[in-house]
Amino acid sequence: MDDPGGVEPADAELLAAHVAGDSEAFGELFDRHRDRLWAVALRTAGSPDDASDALQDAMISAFRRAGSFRGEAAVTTWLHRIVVNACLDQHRRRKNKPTTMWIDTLHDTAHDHDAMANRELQIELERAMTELPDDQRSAIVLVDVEGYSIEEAAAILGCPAGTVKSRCARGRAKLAKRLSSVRNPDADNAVLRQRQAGDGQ
Amino acid sequence: MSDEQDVRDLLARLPSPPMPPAVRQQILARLAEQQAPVAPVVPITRIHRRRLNGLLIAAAVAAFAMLMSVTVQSPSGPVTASPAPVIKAGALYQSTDFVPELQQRFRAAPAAVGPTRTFADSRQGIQACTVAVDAYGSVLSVDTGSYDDVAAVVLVTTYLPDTQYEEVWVVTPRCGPGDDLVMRHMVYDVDNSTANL
Repeated sequence: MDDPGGVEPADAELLAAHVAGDSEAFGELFDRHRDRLWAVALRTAGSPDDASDALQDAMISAFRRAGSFRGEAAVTTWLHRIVVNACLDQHRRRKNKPTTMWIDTLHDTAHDHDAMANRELQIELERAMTELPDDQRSAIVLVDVEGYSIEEAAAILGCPAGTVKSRCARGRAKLAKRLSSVRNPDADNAVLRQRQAGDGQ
Repeated sequence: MSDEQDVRDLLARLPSPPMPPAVRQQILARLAEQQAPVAPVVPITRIHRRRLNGLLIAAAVAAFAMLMSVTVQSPSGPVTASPAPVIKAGALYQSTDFVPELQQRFRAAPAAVGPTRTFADSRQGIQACTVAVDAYGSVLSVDTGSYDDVAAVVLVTTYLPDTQYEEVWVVTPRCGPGDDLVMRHMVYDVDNSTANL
């Protein structure tokens, strides 16, 4: 893309240039959004392999369907919708398969106690997210992790805003329940001690 | 602070890993493949169309006759006729060079002789595997061997949404009811058909 003025073309302009035959436009559009698309794909698909395969399929699909983009939504919304659908399809196809737990890579060199505790909590949270139903996980990934508005997430997921809200709420409730023991291990220990004391009497 | 708000705060603080360079390169390479020039579209003239109509009618009659013969011969009810997959044996795939190896094997490798001691030994076994993994297309090729040093079978099926591509499934040798493990799945132009248009 020629950009003599130094001003970056808008996403829609890049897509239009791609449809018009600009061989570099789509690659530039992909590069512009790749990290965010990857983050969504990784958590929606559940593993790096699935995310990679799904993202490849999604980008090929977007590349080929660009001519049908009518501009009713933002280009990023359209791209995310294709990626999320590809990831969910991939996840559905590969149900019950063992996955590379990318979450394990979160283990890093956290030195102080607080940082390690926080990292453990994040790992537990990521694990818990993989166990959520697809619809709840995809809503939470978009709204709570990636920071999309409810309306944007609804446009990406192709459902009413109210549905996104309720999916998020149900998913958060499940995550909170799952995390309660990690966040408050003393409470569990206290219950355990009480039970042991009761058994001893 | 409520539990829900607490979870939201935690979710918002989760790190977002950037796309690995290898994944970016793979995607850009596949996008570049899409840029490959295609043969010019030749408009169908009236003579062509008449000839085409004749061919289509002949093909329909032949397909109907074939379907009838299969239905009559089948002892266990009607069966949809589909081309027999080519079964190959022995490929030791690695994830690192999976795609070029697969393309080479798909186009050039000789068919296996004798049983392969996997579900691919029988047509029913292949069909059961495709049902187990939700592979909807027709099976084009079955390659028994290994994937990253693990015994595996690579199925290539037609990709229904877009006939230019094939769907690839890396499954276990026991694929079927009770074993729907898919080690890798992707949609790819395995037979390089875009280059041959």
